[in-house]
Amino acid sequence: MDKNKIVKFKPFFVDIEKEEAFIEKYREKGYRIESLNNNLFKYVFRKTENTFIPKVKIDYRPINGKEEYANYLSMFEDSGWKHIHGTYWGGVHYFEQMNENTADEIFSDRSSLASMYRRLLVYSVLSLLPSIVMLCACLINYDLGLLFHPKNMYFTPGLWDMNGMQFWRAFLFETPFVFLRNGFILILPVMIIIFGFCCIKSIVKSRKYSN
Amino acid sequence: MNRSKDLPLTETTFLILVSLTEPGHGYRIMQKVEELSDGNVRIAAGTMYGAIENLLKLKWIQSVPSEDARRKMYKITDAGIEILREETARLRTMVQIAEDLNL
Repeated sequence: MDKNKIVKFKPFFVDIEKEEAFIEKYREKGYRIESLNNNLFKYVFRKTENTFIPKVKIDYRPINGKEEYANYLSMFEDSGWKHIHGTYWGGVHYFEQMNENTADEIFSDRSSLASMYRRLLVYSVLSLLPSIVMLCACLINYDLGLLFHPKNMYFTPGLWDMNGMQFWRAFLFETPFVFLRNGFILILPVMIIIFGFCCIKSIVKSRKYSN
Repeated sequence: MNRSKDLPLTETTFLILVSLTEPGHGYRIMQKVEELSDGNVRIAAGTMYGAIENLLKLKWIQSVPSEDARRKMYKITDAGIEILREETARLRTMVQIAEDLNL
Protein backbone atom coordinates (compact mmCIF):
# COMPACT_ATOMS: atom_id res chain seq x y z
CA MET A 1 0.00 0.00 0.00
CA ASP A 2 1.20 3.45 -0.91
CA LYS A 3 0.88 5.57 2.23
CA ASN A 4 1.05 8.85 0.37
CA LYS A 5 -1.80 8.02 -1.94
CA ILE A 6 -5.52 8.41 -1.21
CA VAL A 7 -8.20 7.04 -3.51
CA LYS A 8 -11.76 8.28 -2.97
CA PHE A 9 -15.01 7.44 -4.67
CA LYS A 10 -17.63 10.12 -4.36
CA PRO A 11 -20.57 10.92 -6.64
CA PHE A 12 -21.25 14.67 -6.86
CA PHE A 13 -23.72 14.76 -9.76
CA VAL A 14 -24.12 18.42 -10.60
CA ASP A 15 -22.89 20.22 -7.50
CA ILE A 16 -19.67 21.57 -8.92
CA GLU A 17 -18.96 23.82 -5.96
CA LYS A 18 -19.17 20.86 -3.58
CA GLU A 19 -16.83 18.86 -5.79
CA GLU A 20 -14.33 21.73 -5.81
CA ALA A 21 -14.61 22.06 -2.03
CA PHE A 22 -13.95 18.33 -1.65
CA ILE A 23 -10.73 18.57 -3.69
CA GLU A 24 -9.78 21.77 -1.86
CA LYS A 25 -10.09 20.02 1.51
CA TYR A 26 -7.31 17.60 0.48
CA ARG A 27 -5.24 20.41 -1.00
CA GLU A 28 -5.26 22.17 2.37
CA LYS A 29 -3.98 18.97 3.97
CA GLY A 30 -1.07 18.88 1.52
CA TYR A 31 -2.51 16.59 -1.16
CA ARG A 32 -2.42 17.26 -4.86
CA ILE A 33 -4.90 15.60 -7.18
CA GLU A 34 -3.06 13.00 -9.23
CA SER A 35 -5.85 11.78 -11.45
CA LEU A 36 -9.60 11.77 -11.53
CA ASN A 37 -12.43 10.26 -13.46
CA ASN A 38 -15.77 11.92 -12.88
CA ASN A 39 -17.66 9.17 -14.69
CA LEU A 40 -16.39 6.62 -12.18
CA PHE A 41 -16.60 9.21 -9.36
CA LYS A 42 -12.92 8.40 -8.69
CA TYR A 43 -10.40 10.86 -7.24
CA VAL A 44 -6.75 10.01 -6.57
CA PHE A 45 -4.70 12.32 -4.32
CA ARG A 46 -1.01 12.25 -3.51
CA LYS A 47 0.76 13.85 -0.56
CA THR A 48 3.30 16.46 -1.62
CA GLU A 49 5.98 18.48 0.17
CA ASN A 50 5.69 21.36 -2.31
CA THR A 51 4.69 24.71 -0.83
CA PHE A 52 2.58 25.46 -3.90
CA ILE A 53 -0.24 23.01 -4.47
CA PRO A 54 -2.44 24.01 -7.40
CA LYS A 55 -6.14 24.68 -6.89
CA VAL A 56 -8.60 22.77 -9.04
CA LYS A 57 -11.55 24.52 -10.69
CA ILE A 58 -14.36 23.01 -12.74
CA ASP A 59 -16.33 24.43 -15.65
CA TYR A 60 -19.40 22.89 -17.22
CA ARG A 61 -19.75 23.88 -20.86
CA PRO A 62 -20.85 21.89 -23.89
CA ILE A 63 -18.38 22.78 -26.66
CA ASN A 64 -19.18 22.79 -30.33
CA GLY A 65 -16.44 20.72 -32.02
CA LYS A 66 -12.74 20.03 -31.64
CA GLU A 67 -11.56 23.30 -33.12
CA GLU A 68 -13.62 25.32 -30.68
CA TYR A 69 -12.36 23.11 -27.85
CA ALA A 70 -8.75 24.00 -28.72
CA ASN A 71 -9.71 27.68 -28.65
CA TYR A 72 -11.44 27.22 -25.28
CA LEU A 73 -8.49 25.39 -23.73
CA SER A 74 -6.02 27.97 -25.09
CA MET A 75 -7.92 30.73 -23.33
CA PHE A 76 -7.52 28.88 -20.03
CA GLU A 77 -3.89 27.91 -20.70
CA ASP A 78 -2.93 31.48 -21.60
CA SER A 79 -4.37 32.68 -18.31
CA GLY A 80 -2.55 30.05 -16.25
CA TRP A 81 -4.99 27.14 -16.06
CA LYS A 82 -3.84 23.69 -17.11
CA HIS A 83 -6.51 21.33 -18.37
CA ILE A 84 -6.36 18.10 -16.35
CA HIS A 85 -9.53 16.21 -17.20
CA GLY A 86 -12.46 16.35 -19.60
CA THR A 87 -13.25 15.86 -23.26
CA TYR A 88 -14.84 18.17 -25.79
CA TRP A 89 -17.95 16.04 -25.93
CA GLY A 90 -18.17 15.54 -22.16
CA GLY A 91 -19.15 19.01 -21.01
CA VAL A 92 -17.25 18.93 -17.71
CA HIS A 93 -13.76 20.41 -17.76
CA TYR A 94 -11.24 20.32 -14.90
CA PHE A 95 -8.44 22.86 -14.61
CA GLU A 96 -5.47 23.19 -12.29
CA GLN A 97 -3.46 26.34 -11.52
CA MET A 98 -0.11 26.39 -13.35
CA ASN A 99 1.66 28.55 -10.79
CA GLU A 100 1.26 31.00 -7.89
CA ASN A 101 0.42 33.84 -10.26
CA THR A 102 -2.72 32.18 -11.60
CA ALA A 103 -5.96 33.79 -10.42
CA ASP A 104 -7.92 31.94 -7.71
CA GLU A 105 -11.10 31.61 -9.74
CA ILE A 106 -12.16 30.82 -13.28
CA PHE A 107 -15.29 32.97 -12.90
CA SER A 108 -14.78 36.59 -11.96
CA ASP A 109 -18.43 37.52 -11.53
CA ARG A 110 -21.57 35.96 -10.12
CA SER A 111 -23.52 36.13 -13.35
CA SER A 112 -21.08 33.84 -15.19
CA LEU A 113 -21.35 31.36 -12.31
CA ALA A 114 -25.14 31.61 -12.57
CA SER A 115 -24.85 30.92 -16.32
CA MET A 116 -22.89 27.75 -15.61
CA TYR A 117 -25.70 26.45 -13.38
CA ARG A 118 -28.22 27.36 -16.08
CA ARG A 119 -26.23 25.23 -18.55
CA LEU A 120 -26.27 22.42 -15.99
CA LEU A 121 -30.02 22.83 -15.65
CA VAL A 122 -30.48 22.34 -19.40
CA TYR A 123 -28.33 19.22 -19.18
CA SER A 124 -30.32 17.86 -16.22
CA VAL A 125 -33.67 18.50 -17.88
CA LEU A 126 -32.47 16.85 -21.10
CA SER A 127 -31.45 13.79 -19.07
CA LEU A 128 -34.63 13.77 -17.00
CA LEU A 129 -37.18 13.95 -19.81
CA PRO A 130 -36.10 10.81 -21.74
CA SER A 131 -36.08 8.82 -18.48
CA ILE A 132 -39.65 9.89 -17.75
CA VAL A 133 -40.78 9.10 -21.30
CA MET A 134 -39.06 5.71 -21.16
CA LEU A 135 -40.63 4.85 -17.82
CA CYS A 136 -44.11 5.81 -19.05
CA ALA A 137 -43.61 3.75 -22.21
CA CYS A 138 -42.48 0.76 -20.14
CA LEU A 139 -45.34 1.05 -17.65
CA ILE A 140 -47.98 0.69 -20.39
CA ASN A 141 -47.02 -2.97 -20.89
CA TYR A 142 -45.89 -3.76 -17.39
CA ASP A 143 -47.85 -5.68 -14.78
CA LEU A 144 -47.18 -3.68 -11.61
CA GLY A 145 -48.47 -6.59 -9.53
CA LEU A 146 -45.12 -8.26 -10.18
CA LEU A 147 -43.47 -5.77 -7.82
CA PHE A 148 -45.54 -7.18 -4.96
CA HIS A 149 -45.05 -10.80 -6.03
CA PRO A 150 -41.45 -10.88 -7.28
CA LYS A 151 -41.58 -14.69 -7.43
CA ASN A 152 -43.83 -14.38 -10.49
CA MET A 153 -40.99 -12.64 -12.34
CA TYR A 154 -39.46 -16.10 -12.79
CA PHE A 155 -40.95 -18.19 -15.59
CA THR A 156 -39.20 -21.56 -15.01
CA PRO A 157 -42.02 -24.06 -14.37
CA GLY A 158 -42.01 -25.41 -10.82
CA LEU A 159 -38.94 -23.32 -9.85
CA TRP A 160 -40.18 -22.49 -6.36
CA ASP A 161 -40.87 -26.15 -5.54
CA MET A 162 -37.34 -27.26 -6.40
CA ASN A 163 -34.72 -28.04 -3.75
CA GLY A 164 -30.97 -27.75 -3.24
CA MET A 165 -28.62 -27.58 -6.21
CA GLN A 166 -31.40 -28.06 -8.69
CA PHE A 167 -33.14 -24.91 -7.37
CA TRP A 168 -29.99 -22.76 -7.31
CA ARG A 169 -28.95 -23.82 -10.81
CA ALA A 170 -32.33 -22.93 -12.27
CA PHE A 171 -32.64 -19.78 -10.15
CA LEU A 172 -29.22 -18.39 -11.07
CA PHE A 173 -29.73 -19.31 -14.72
CA GLU A 174 -32.92 -17.31 -14.98
CA THR A 175 -31.89 -14.32 -12.82
CA PRO A 176 -30.10 -12.40 -15.63
CA PHE A 177 -33.21 -12.73 -17.79
CA VAL A 178 -35.37 -11.50 -14.92
CA PHE A 179 -33.16 -8.41 -14.72
CA LEU A 180 -33.44 -7.86 -18.46
CA ARG A 181 -37.22 -8.05 -18.24
CA ASN A 182 -37.70 -6.07 -15.03
CA GLY A 183 -34.52 -4.03 -14.47
CA PHE A 184 -35.85 -0.85 -16.06
CA ILE A 185 -38.74 -0.67 -13.61
CA LEU A 186 -36.19 -0.46 -10.78
CA ILE A 187 -33.48 1.60 -12.51
CA LEU A 188 -35.57 4.25 -14.27
CA PRO A 189 -37.22 5.59 -11.08
CA VAL A 190 -33.77 5.86 -9.48
CA MET A 191 -32.49 7.77 -12.51
CA ILE A 192 -35.53 10.04 -12.44
CA ILE A 193 -34.93 10.81 -8.77
CA ILE A 194 -31.24 11.57 -9.39
CA PHE A 195 -31.87 13.78 -12.43
CA GLY A 196 -34.80 15.46 -10.67
CA PHE A 197 -32.48 16.20 -7.78
CA CYS A 198 -29.92 17.60 -10.26
CA CYS A 199 -32.57 19.89 -11.77
CA ILE A 200 -33.59 21.28 -8.37
CA LYS A 201 -29.97 21.74 -7.36
CA SER A 202 -29.07 23.70 -10.50
CA ILE A 203 -32.19 25.87 -10.19
CA VAL A 204 -31.30 26.72 -6.57
CA LYS A 205 -27.69 27.52 -7.44
CA SER A 206 -28.42 29.57 -10.56
CA ARG A 207 -30.96 31.62 -8.58
CA LYS A 208 -28.48 32.11 -5.76
CA TYR A 209 -25.95 33.67 -8.13
CA SER A 210 -28.47 35.54 -10.28
CA ASN A 211 -29.23 38.28 -7.77
CA MET B 1 -35.45 58.88 -26.81
CA ASN B 2 -35.99 55.32 -27.85
CA ARG B 3 -33.29 53.49 -25.92
CA SER B 4 -32.00 50.03 -26.81
CA LYS B 5 -33.11 47.41 -24.31
CA ASP B 6 -29.52 46.20 -24.15
CA LEU B 7 -28.42 49.31 -22.29
CA PRO B 8 -26.77 49.91 -19.89
CA LEU B 9 -23.80 47.67 -20.63
CA THR B 10 -21.83 46.13 -17.80
CA GLU B 11 -18.36 47.49 -17.25
CA THR B 12 -16.95 44.17 -18.50
CA THR B 13 -18.97 44.18 -21.73
CA PHE B 14 -18.10 47.81 -22.38
CA LEU B 15 -14.38 47.18 -21.95
CA ILE B 16 -14.40 44.00 -24.05
CA LEU B 17 -16.11 45.86 -26.89
CA VAL B 18 -13.61 48.70 -26.64
CA SER B 19 -10.73 46.17 -26.69
CA LEU B 20 -12.10 44.56 -29.81
CA THR B 21 -11.98 47.74 -31.89
CA GLU B 22 -8.69 46.03 -32.80
CA PRO B 23 -8.79 42.27 -33.53
CA GLY B 24 -7.63 40.07 -30.67
CA HIS B 25 -7.92 36.56 -29.21
CA GLY B 26 -9.36 35.68 -25.82
CA TYR B 27 -6.31 36.18 -23.64
CA ARG B 28 -5.35 39.38 -25.48
CA ILE B 29 -8.78 40.79 -24.59
CA MET B 30 -8.25 39.87 -20.93
CA GLN B 31 -4.92 41.71 -20.88
CA LYS B 32 -6.31 44.73 -22.67
CA VAL B 33 -9.30 45.06 -20.37
CA GLU B 34 -6.93 44.99 -17.41
CA GLU B 35 -4.75 47.71 -18.98
CA LEU B 36 -7.72 49.90 -19.93
CA SER B 37 -9.12 49.73 -16.40
CA ASP B 38 -5.76 50.29 -14.65
CA GLY B 39 -5.92 46.78 -13.27
CA ASN B 40 -9.38 47.24 -11.74
CA VAL B 41 -11.27 44.86 -14.01
CA ARG B 42 -9.77 41.40 -14.24
CA ILE B 43 -11.81 38.91 -16.20
CA ALA B 44 -11.19 35.26 -15.36
CA ALA B 45 -10.88 32.65 -18.13
CA GLY B 46 -14.32 31.05 -17.74
CA THR B 47 -16.08 34.40 -17.55
CA MET B 48 -14.17 35.64 -20.61
CA TYR B 49 -15.12 32.61 -22.69
CA GLY B 50 -18.79 33.01 -21.74
CA ALA B 51 -18.71 36.74 -22.49
CA ILE B 52 -17.31 36.12 -25.98
CA GLU B 53 -19.95 33.47 -26.68
CA ASN B 54 -22.61 35.90 -25.57
CA LEU B 55 -21.31 38.81 -27.67
CA LEU B 56 -21.07 36.54 -30.72
CA LYS B 57 -24.69 35.56 -30.20
CA LEU B 58 -25.70 39.23 -29.99
CA LYS B 59 -23.64 39.79 -33.19
CA TRP B 60 -21.77 42.67 -31.52
CA ILE B 61 -18.49 40.91 -32.27
CA GLN B 62 -17.50 38.40 -34.94
CA SER B 63 -14.81 35.82 -35.46
CA VAL B 64 -12.12 36.86 -37.97
CA PRO B 65 -9.44 34.69 -39.68
CA SER B 66 -6.60 33.77 -37.33
CA GLU B 67 -3.03 32.64 -38.07
CA ASP B 68 -3.02 30.54 -34.92
CA ALA B 69 -5.23 27.46 -35.37
CA ARG B 70 -5.65 27.09 -31.60
CA ARG B 71 -6.68 30.68 -30.94
CA LYS B 72 -9.66 32.35 -32.55
CA MET B 73 -9.53 36.07 -33.29
CA TYR B 74 -12.48 38.35 -32.72
CA LYS B 75 -13.38 41.85 -33.82
CA ILE B 76 -16.20 44.27 -33.09
CA THR B 77 -19.02 44.51 -35.69
CA ASP B 78 -20.89 47.60 -36.89
CA ALA B 79 -23.73 46.68 -34.53
CA GLY B 80 -21.16 46.51 -31.71
CA ILE B 81 -19.80 49.94 -32.55
CA GLU B 82 -23.35 51.30 -32.63
CA ILE B 83 -24.11 49.92 -29.14
CA LEU B 84 -20.81 51.38 -27.85
CA ARG B 85 -21.87 54.77 -29.21
CA GLU B 86 -25.27 54.54 -27.55
CA GLU B 87 -23.71 53.52 -24.26
CA THR B 88 -21.16 56.32 -24.44
CA ALA B 89 -23.96 58.82 -25.04
CA ARG B 90 -25.83 57.42 -22.05
CA LEU B 91 -22.75 57.66 -19.86
CA ARG B 92 -22.14 61.22 -21.01
CA THR B 93 -25.66 62.17 -19.90
CA MET B 94 -25.05 60.51 -16.53
CA VAL B 95 -21.79 62.38 -16.07
CA GLN B 96 -23.50 65.62 -17.07
CA ILE B 97 -26.18 65.13 -14.40
CA ALA B 98 -23.51 64.60 -11.76
CA GLU B 99 -21.44 67.53 -12.91
CA ASP B 100 -24.45 69.87 -12.83
CA LEU B 101 -24.61 69.13 -9.12
CA ASN B 102 -20.94 70.06 -8.78
CA LEU B 103 -20.11 66.59 -7.48
